[in-house]
Amino acid sequence: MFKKQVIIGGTGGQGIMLAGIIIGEAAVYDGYHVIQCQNYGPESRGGASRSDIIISDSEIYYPKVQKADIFVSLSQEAFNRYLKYSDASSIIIVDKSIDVGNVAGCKSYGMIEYAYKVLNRPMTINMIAIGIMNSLTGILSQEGIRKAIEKNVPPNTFDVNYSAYNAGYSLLKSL
Amino acid sequence: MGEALLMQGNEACVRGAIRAGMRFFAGYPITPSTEIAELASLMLPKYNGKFIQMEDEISSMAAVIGASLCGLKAMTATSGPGFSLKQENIGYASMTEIPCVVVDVMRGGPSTGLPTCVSQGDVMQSRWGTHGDHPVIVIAPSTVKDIYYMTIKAFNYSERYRIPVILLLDEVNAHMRESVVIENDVEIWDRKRPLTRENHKPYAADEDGVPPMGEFGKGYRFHVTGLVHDETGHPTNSSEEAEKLIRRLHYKLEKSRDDIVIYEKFKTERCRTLIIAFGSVARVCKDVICQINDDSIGLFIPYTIWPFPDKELLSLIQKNRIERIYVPELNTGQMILEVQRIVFGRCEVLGINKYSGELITPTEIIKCLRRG
Amino acid sequence: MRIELLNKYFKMDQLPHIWCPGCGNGIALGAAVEAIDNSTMDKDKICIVSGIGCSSRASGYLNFDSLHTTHGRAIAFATGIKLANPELNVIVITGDGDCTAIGGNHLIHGCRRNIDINVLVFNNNIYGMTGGQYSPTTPRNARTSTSRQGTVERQFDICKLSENAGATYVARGTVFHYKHLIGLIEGAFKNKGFSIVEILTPCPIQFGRRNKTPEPADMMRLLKNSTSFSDDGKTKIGVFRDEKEPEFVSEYIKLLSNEGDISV
Repeated sequence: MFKKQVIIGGTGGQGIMLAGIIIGEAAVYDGYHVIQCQNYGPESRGGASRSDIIISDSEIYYPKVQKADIFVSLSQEAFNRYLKYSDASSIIIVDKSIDVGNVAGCKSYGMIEYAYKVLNRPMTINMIAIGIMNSLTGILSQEGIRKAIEKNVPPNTFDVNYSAYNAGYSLLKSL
Repeated sequence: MGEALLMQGNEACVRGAIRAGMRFFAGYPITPSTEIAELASLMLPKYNGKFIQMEDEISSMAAVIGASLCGLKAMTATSGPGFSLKQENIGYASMTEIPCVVVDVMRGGPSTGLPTCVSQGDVMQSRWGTHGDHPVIVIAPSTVKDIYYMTIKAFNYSERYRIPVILLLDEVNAHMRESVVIENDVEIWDRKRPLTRENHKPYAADEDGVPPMGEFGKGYRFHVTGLVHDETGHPTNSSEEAEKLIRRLHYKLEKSRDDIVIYEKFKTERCRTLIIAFGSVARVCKDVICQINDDSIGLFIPYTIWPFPDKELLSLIQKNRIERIYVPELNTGQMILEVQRIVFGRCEVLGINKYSGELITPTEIIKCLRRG
Repeated sequence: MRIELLNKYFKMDQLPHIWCPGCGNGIALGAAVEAIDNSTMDKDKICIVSGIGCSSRASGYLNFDSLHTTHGRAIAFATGIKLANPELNVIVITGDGDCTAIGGNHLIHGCRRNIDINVLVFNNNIYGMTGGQYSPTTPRNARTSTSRQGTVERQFDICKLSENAGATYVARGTVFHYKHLIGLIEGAFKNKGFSIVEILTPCPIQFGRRNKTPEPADMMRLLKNSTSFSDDGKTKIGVFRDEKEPEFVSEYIKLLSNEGDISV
């Protein structure tokens, strides 16, 4: 049985929800059963927010992530708050700015810096994160991701977003 | 079979509604139901349908009833506090037999409570929220796919039985996105129309207890009132007419009760312990049943929580000689009261209750089952 | 009212009405019916919507499609009706309590939308049906069953309220000035937008008896003497606003199309 539980955590405004939807939709295109849940506070900017995605080849009943196989965090607050949903077997991907303390095995990348300085598009940090995640885990097809991005971003920003995803996908080698 | 889509519960509700023929929506923003209004405002005009954001939930309910009287299938959606505000006019729709669908996305209460958190605290309000003896149908879907199809059912029932139907979602299944495959064939029911305009008696019922329904602007020239009325639709103080009307309002549902109730038995073949759960908690319980993999425990899901599938539950209890029933719900114990009424001491009934604003976990339920 | 109109527009089997002797509601309704008769509206496309209270019982007496709704909500129901079927001529019959107290919110939002609804407010300055309690239009110091020493609260000016909330036709008349009233209601029907006619009407039983005008004739005389067609300090009657502005339903239906996918 194939089942992957993913948590994407970050600050409101980083496009965490959109990242969750794109991952979820890509998995639907790949033929999986998918559930995507959002956890949000009343503030739509700032604060820690997270998007849960469960991908499985059979029906999913419990809709929340209990233990994340993959935990991506784009902010310190989200890392601190949601770390408890991961364990030693989880793949933890964080931005370089995050202090992971004594948590072993975290994969740290300068995603925010890359979005700001290299791409000059702060809004694309979520796409870079998806790219890195998929490059590390290979759970989604490139075609599925492309379709999902196309469907969920405004047409005039597709190129920017898709190339940010691809940049993330190939970033591993350069960092 | 259609393509698989990742769909939000609230989105499934709007798509299902439009599929069922909804052409009017009136609402007022409130978390966690707002996406329904947003999507309705976007989609309806493309189907020649109307959307209006009213000044409050009371007027939204009123506008929906007005639109339904003009022949449009109409819906409103709200949550907790807004559901309370709609109650008087829900009673009006019940009394005047005007079809409409009311979506209540349950959130933590009472009062403003926990706007972004899940609860199942409106079980009793959905049944008895408006004053007086009144019939109502309440449907509580569990998955996003359920929401799509049960929204269509809600319209079908509402149109056929001329009754307000409450669709009870919760913050979890309304906000979550899930992969859904939409089938091409669905059954759509419409309201009965009068055969003639001559001597039109708007409240003269057929054998099924349901009067055919004319619409405003078509020359019927009929009167509708929330006062007790006779077959002509005009108010009356006659105690005989009052009793006849209230009896018929209940009769029309009782008569068709077997066609209305929806439920599911999940791995109950050999069970002696039964879990009864609805809404998002039902799917958590399916997870529990699969995890423990013990055929002595089964699951019963009422989808119409009002009318509750009481005959069906009772027959399962008797056939399997059920010894114990657990009722997990996200409140301090509401549906359990109906279960206890049905069980009537035949076996033990235990509640598992969570009201923190979070969905109950499989582990929490298993712990209760093991504790015995 | 012309007698032949009785058979033409009333449901005779629903009469006699519930209104007390000396009540002005019958006159106000008569004026409304004359205005309807004078208009070119298709009588099958007229819909009467009322709330709860003495005046709101009018809907059940008329031979049109009619909706007797919940207290205060007539305009909200009417909004749903008009948007659902823009062909209908929607006439709301309501009272001062129904329209400006419990239904005040719907009144101002109806005005703001400028939705094509005609609201006739039978203003008798009191809650009649429940036995004479003070309403938002009861004058200061008037005695009622809930203000036996005189009403302390200030009163609403329905016309000013509606005008400032955006209604495009606003008028006030009285049941004493019958012909004038018919004209005002006709003006309302002609306006494509939110129209409101405040109709001053006497309630001798619940208001008059407590306020030194117990006889219907006393109250009629009061209506005559306390109102004026000009700005002389008396309560002014006439048309206060009659302007053309974008109407909600006709603007909204411009958005409609049939481009939606049937399979949803």
